[in-house]
Amino acid sequence: MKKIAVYGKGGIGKSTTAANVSAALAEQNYKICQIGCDPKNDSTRLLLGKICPSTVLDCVKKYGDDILLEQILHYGYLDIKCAEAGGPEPGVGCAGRGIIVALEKLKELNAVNECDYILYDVLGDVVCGGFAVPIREGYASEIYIVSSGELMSLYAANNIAKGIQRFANRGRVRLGGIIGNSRNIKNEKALLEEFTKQINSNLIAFIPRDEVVNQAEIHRKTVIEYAPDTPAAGVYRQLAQKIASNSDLTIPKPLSFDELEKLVFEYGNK
Amino acid sequence: MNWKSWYLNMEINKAKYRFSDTKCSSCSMIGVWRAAGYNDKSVIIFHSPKACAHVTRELDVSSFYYDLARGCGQRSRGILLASNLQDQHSIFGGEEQLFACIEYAAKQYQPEYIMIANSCVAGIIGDDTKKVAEMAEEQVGIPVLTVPCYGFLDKNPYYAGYYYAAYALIDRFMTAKPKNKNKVTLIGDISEITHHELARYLQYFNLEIGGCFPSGLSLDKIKQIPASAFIITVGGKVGKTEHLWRIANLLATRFSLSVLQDAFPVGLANTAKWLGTIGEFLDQPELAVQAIEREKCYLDAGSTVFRKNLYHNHTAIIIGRSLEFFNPEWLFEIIVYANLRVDSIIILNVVAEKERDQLMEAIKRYTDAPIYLEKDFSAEFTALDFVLTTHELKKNSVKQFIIPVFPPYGSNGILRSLQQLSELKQRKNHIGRSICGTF
Repeated sequence: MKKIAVYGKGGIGKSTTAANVSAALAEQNYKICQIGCDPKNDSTRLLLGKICPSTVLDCVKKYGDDILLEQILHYGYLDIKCAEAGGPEPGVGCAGRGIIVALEKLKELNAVNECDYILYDVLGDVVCGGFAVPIREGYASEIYIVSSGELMSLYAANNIAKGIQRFANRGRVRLGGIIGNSRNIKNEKALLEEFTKQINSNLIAFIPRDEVVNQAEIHRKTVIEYAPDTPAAGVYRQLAQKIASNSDLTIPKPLSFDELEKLVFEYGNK
Repeated sequence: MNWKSWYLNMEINKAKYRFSDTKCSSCSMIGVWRAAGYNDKSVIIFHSPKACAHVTRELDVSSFYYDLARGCGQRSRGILLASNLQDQHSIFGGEEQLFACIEYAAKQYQPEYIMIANSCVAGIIGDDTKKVAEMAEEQVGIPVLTVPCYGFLDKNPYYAGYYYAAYALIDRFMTAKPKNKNKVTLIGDISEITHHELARYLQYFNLEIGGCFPSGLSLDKIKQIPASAFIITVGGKVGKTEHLWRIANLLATRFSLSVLQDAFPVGLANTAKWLGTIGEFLDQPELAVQAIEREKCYLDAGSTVFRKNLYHNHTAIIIGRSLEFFNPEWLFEIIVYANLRVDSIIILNVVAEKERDQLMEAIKRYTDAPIYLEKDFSAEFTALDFVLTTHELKKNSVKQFIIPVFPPYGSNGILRSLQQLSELKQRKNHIGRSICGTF
């Protein structure tokens, strides 16, 4: 069983990437489980064709400890198991604590048994200890960071690398690589390649900006399902293949903010 | 007895007498409870897990029996409830739970007001307690007060909770009133015995205590505080009275009240100074002179037997506290007054190095007795009648008088200490070899 977590700046395309990777792996007859770790509850939308009807924390709130697996586990495209941690309303309570409780509950109910791949799709930056749980507590052993060439996206990626570095020293978690998700920035691919090199990692894929991704999204589908023969679908399949066979896992060496700024400036002015 | 062999066995009971460098180790909810939980017809709600209220209740019960064993004991008159935050509230927020708790409290106890103290959990998850209190107040028609403190999350949390609970009571219930020239308000957290002692002193000036704010008062009495002639800060802990001063200054500013906060009547000199300050303030110094004289007579008459019994008794002083928690002035007044002989003074290793010199300098102002550091001590001594020690000593046959962190107030405080020393000296070994020097 390969346990993967996808991190990255909010809105960078983590859920889209995770869902397409899940779909591409499922096409190859692997048994997949995707777990959304975000109170927004939208990680598995493209796989389920709708917003997840009941999250783990919805059920915890409603039923306490008496939760049944079928209440929180849903089946999407190609029978991919989908679960959403869920969380409190915006501005209330503690979402980080919610992630901890939700993941513990999924573990307790053996939700991911008999899967070949588990993908944790985690909210934005590692803002608090709760969101570091997939890295920290052995839920995931390979981390992939989705990033564009924009400064703030790289900044978030660098911060996540710091979190991985911290926990890598006491466990098995490693950085699998950076997934470039293009925003059509000047010299974007070259910048991402240099960034990944400097933090001791690899640019495992570079996903060009493509309208079909947006079209698939508004039709509540992954690109793999919506437009299986397009180049974009091919890119996701290639990415899935690389993740499946990736053995180049590293402990990252994050940059200082000054180094990061300098790098972005250099490539932005070329 | 061979002093050296006794001393080499001087392992202190660290578990029982531990003083840390941190300013306070209780959380703000306990501060709120101490400030408002002893008031009549009040309900204090801890917006917290049940355990926080349980711990507070246990502390309260211990404190009550401790005081009761010493002939006093004030029982809390307020009701303590917990909103019972659980894991799911830490995720989804505990505001609904708090609202339900306020409704329950109002229905079940019909209090005059409700005060909410926030726990660390409430602070971390960011529950909007103030908004809940406003909504609940509208619903139940009873004042619902809040404090902007969150368990251990604040600086000096106990004092923050205590101060803001007092602030909430002042802000909500007090309005300017015509002054009553015979009423005095005390500010602080004092025992019943201390209260009686201060009441006795104030009678010399035809004054009576209107109340000791913020604790132990009915809402009617709280409302009458602005009518006081003046206010006096009392109680508090050595070097830790800032929160009391803040309360006093708030009252002074809002209601044009004068504040006396210069000294506490602890020991002979300070009691005289305290009485003198009141005489000066009232522009009746002759009453202060009379009061001081009468207190001297009272003390001399009451202590004759004890002083005779203690005359030229041999003792050693063992100090394991910094000056923040050790008042040499009070201790040496007792020693001189009782005519004790101090053979030596030993400063324990638990006193931080940087504080030792300061402590030794302070002690030298009162005595010529040799001072040793624990690590350097090697002298041998003959029999002692008892030791005066800040730390209970384990495995020793010597009788011990445990020096209190907060010495008892006034002439009766001195008398009580002399009585304890006298009793200690006369005790047979099998009865008990240590006595705690508090009321």
